[in-house]
Amino acid sequence: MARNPAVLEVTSVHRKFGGLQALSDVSFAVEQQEVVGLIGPNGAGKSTLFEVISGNIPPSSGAIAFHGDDVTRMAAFRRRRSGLCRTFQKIRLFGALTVAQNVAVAAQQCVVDGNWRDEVASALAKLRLTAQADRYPSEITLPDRKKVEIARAIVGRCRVLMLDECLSGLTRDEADEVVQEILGLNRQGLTIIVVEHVMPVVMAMAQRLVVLQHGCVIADGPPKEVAANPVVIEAYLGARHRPAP
Amino acid sequence: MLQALLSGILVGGVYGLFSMGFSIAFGVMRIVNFAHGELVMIGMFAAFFAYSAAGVDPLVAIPLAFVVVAALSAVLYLLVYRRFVGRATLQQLLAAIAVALILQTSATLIFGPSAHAVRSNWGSQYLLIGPIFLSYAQLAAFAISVACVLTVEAVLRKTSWGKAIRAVADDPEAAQLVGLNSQVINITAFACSGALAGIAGAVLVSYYPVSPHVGFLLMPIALIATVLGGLGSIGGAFVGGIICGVIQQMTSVLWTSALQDVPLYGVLLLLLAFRPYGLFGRVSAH
Repeated sequence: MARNPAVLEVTSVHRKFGGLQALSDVSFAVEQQEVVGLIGPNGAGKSTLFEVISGNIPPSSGAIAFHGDDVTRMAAFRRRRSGLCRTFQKIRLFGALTVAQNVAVAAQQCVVDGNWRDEVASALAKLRLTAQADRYPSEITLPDRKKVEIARAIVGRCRVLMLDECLSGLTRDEADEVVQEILGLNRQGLTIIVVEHVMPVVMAMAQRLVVLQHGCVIADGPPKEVAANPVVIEAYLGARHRPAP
Repeated sequence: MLQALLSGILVGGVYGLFSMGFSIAFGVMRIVNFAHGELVMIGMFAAFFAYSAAGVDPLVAIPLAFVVVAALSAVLYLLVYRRFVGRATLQQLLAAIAVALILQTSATLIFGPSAHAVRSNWGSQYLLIGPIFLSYAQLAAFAISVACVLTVEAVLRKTSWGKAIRAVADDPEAAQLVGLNSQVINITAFACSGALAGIAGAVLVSYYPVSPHVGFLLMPIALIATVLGGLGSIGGAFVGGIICGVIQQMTSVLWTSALQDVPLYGVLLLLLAFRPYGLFGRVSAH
């Protein structure tokens, strides 16, 4: 079967903070409309990798290509405008702006064709946030705040959506609701990379898992295959849990 | 007392205007621009120059002061301040003080060290309402200040640019990651901050003499008004400016004009001790 073209390619990315090697020779690719789970123990480098891919911090070396274009040195705002979008581990909505205004500031920069107001309304409708449009982030529930972050990320030109622990702090029902919204976006054609600690959810959502440990990729494959990988089991549970050969 | 109160409000309106500019630089970029008083001074000299060279009234020269100081501020941001956004406050302060000294010295070299005053016919006239007399120049300055403040507030609340500025002020990193070019926003915000200083300078010179050192006298007022109004609260800085004006005038009447700034510093110390987020700031403000 022919493989879809890669929309995002991370090649040999290294990132050092002083003496700490946060990312070491990280390489992987994400295909069109794929849902990729980026997992690993705490401190594995997942969030750093998100920061590097989104352009918030530069890599020490290596390359990032988006739809075939080298974006390694491209400013973060240009990456967002070209369709490489993300949410944050800790919600970072603009508290002085309403829900609609939060989405609108992104839409005004990122909508290339059409009316940005229509795009805002469409993004809010997709995430079922229309009724909350005129409220401030402090006036809505946590799941709705998470959905506003997603709406702000997908409005306008969004081709790859990176979700950084978007289910943290949610109850199971709330998480299920947000997951359904995310999978709905994927069905509409969006490519999604998700960092998540809730493993059953990642296993159910992702078509492929990339596992990081100590800044290195230790496994990359379908969820079932990765879950049975002894190196991954050891990374998560320690050597004594390694299955007998 | 009523006379002092009204005079304080009128004078305070102009303080509020340039304090708003100071507050924008702080609120958006977290820059404590200690050269803001010097930007007001440049605005005063721009209007004075128009008056002395072509007989143009300072209020008519507002667009000139606006453009000159906004352009100078944009250049200063690109050359100096952008390197200090997000850096430690001490580094910013030292850089801003250096800029202030350079602007002061340049003004001394160009205009000389002495004070210059505009002597327009209407500027020295007063409106008499019973026992109260109010300077036409101060009334005009106050009206212009209020108009500018309302305009700035409307721009920040209603326009795309204003919302982008508020987003960058809230979280510059997140703003970049939703597609906003923080650098462009910062340049325009800093130019806007300077433009308000320029307008304040032009209206101030209609009743207050300008010298290269006048910025040194105005800077503490901007700082106190901003802290008083609430760090990060742009509208609050205007109210803070009015309160500063009233305190000054009341002190002049009830005590002595020579010490009119002393209670201001007392208010600053009390605020920093008991309500560091000011009257209108949020507890989470920086």
